[in-house]
Amino acid sequence: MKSSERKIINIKDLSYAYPDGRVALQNVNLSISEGESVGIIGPNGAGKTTLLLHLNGVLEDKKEAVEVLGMKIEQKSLKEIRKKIGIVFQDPDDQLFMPTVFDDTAFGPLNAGYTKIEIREKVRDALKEVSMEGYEERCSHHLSLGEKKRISIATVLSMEPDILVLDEPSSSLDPRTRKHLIDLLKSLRQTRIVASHDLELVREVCQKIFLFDGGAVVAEGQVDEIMRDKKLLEAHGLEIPFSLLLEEGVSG
Amino acid sequence: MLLNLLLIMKHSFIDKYSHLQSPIHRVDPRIKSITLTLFILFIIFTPPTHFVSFSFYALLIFILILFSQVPVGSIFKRSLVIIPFVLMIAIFIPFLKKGEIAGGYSFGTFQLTVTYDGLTVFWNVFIKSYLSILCLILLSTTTKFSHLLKALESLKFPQIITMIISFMYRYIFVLVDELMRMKRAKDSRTVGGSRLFHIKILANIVGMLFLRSYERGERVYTAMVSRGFDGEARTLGQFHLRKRDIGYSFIVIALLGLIRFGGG
Repeated sequence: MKSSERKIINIKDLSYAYPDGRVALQNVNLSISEGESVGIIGPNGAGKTTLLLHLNGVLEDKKEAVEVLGMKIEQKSLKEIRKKIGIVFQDPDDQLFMPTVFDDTAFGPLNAGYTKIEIREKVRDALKEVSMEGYEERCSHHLSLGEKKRISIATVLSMEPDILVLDEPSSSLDPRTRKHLIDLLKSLRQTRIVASHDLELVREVCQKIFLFDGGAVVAEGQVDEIMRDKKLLEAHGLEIPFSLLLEEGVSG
Repeated sequence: MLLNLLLIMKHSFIDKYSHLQSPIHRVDPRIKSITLTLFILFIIFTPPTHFVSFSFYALLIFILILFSQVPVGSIFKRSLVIIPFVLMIAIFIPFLKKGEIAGGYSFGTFQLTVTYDGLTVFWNVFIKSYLSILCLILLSTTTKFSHLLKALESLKFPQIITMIISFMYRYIFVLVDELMRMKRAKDSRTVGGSRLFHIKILANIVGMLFLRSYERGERVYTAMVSRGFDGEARTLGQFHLRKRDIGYSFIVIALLGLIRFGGG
């Protein structure tokens, strides 16, 4: 594993409270290396999504606690950072806001100021990567949820980000669509950050885990190391993934 | 135009027939928009007494509709949406306009008279709005909605308006679905109750729908910002003007000119 490489994301003492006073993150410290695939797990309301929104400066903290690709998040670096870090939000109906799949996939590259030819190429490659070629002219509303999820991923792949961030990628997918999604996520090369409470998915896709609860990191470590810890998981509203139990049962 | 688009839409697809492959469908959306707008201008600037011109306009639209392969019945049905509006505006005019009296009715001491001038104004409003709406329906049924938006954009339509229409088109279905789900949830939990009770719940649902839309708006904006949105909407024009398109436009405009200035 090549985890000793350059730190691509560095978060130091990040705290955040929503305008209504609700504390969402408290003194979060974490760092992620280039090429890693990291799972952010935790129960509902643990602060996973809030953390993701800090990665590209949608939510701001005052202390500049977040550093992405060696850049502090500030007004002048925002454009560059948002080009390099692609966030796929949970609800595809939020992610896909343009009339057609093509427009949606081209949205990021257009804002980044590429030429027409480059944009067409990027859109084609991104749709190919998620096996959705030929969907360019389709209207997002008439796609199935699985298709929407794939296109959502394509909309950030087209920006060729260094870091891919996914918020609950598997929510409300049927098993087959979920399986396709897992295969897709495994096939991607970028640094990946997956926030989910679908531990089976995290186990398949990620190597490293940060366990969140109450807005703080309560544990971090390699996937199986954390997932074997029944007490820890159950204390934070999660349970040992079934696949792991099965393997343990078979092996001993 | 926006209002009409909204009215035609309901829950069915506004561009239900836009996938057909007819000569009209294949015309460049920009050319189609310009030509049909010109058509409407011709209609509007024709004096109401040029009955021959109007019949030829109608004939021309009818021929275009036939070429477009869109079922005539569906176009006719859609065209009916304007009737209430025209009636609301124009129905009283024949009675109010002064001039030579065409006919009268008396109810005791109360006298109603219809004048020729009034009838002409009524006819003017009616035929012009009807033919214009046919043009718009022809445009909207033979063009994919996204193409129509692109055409408007490349014709330098104000961006704020094209963006509003674009989001409306994308999210109206999402909202309608949300409304249906809430209504179903309400129906499964409310049995009986007075009419007032139901109206109150409906008011709650509408409020809820507003809140949800508002929150969705926030989330969509977050998604846009995350992909580099900085206030300016950029899209990629993808039309190529062909000789055929210009030919189409030329023929229609020539025919319009002939109808307007040649015969009538």
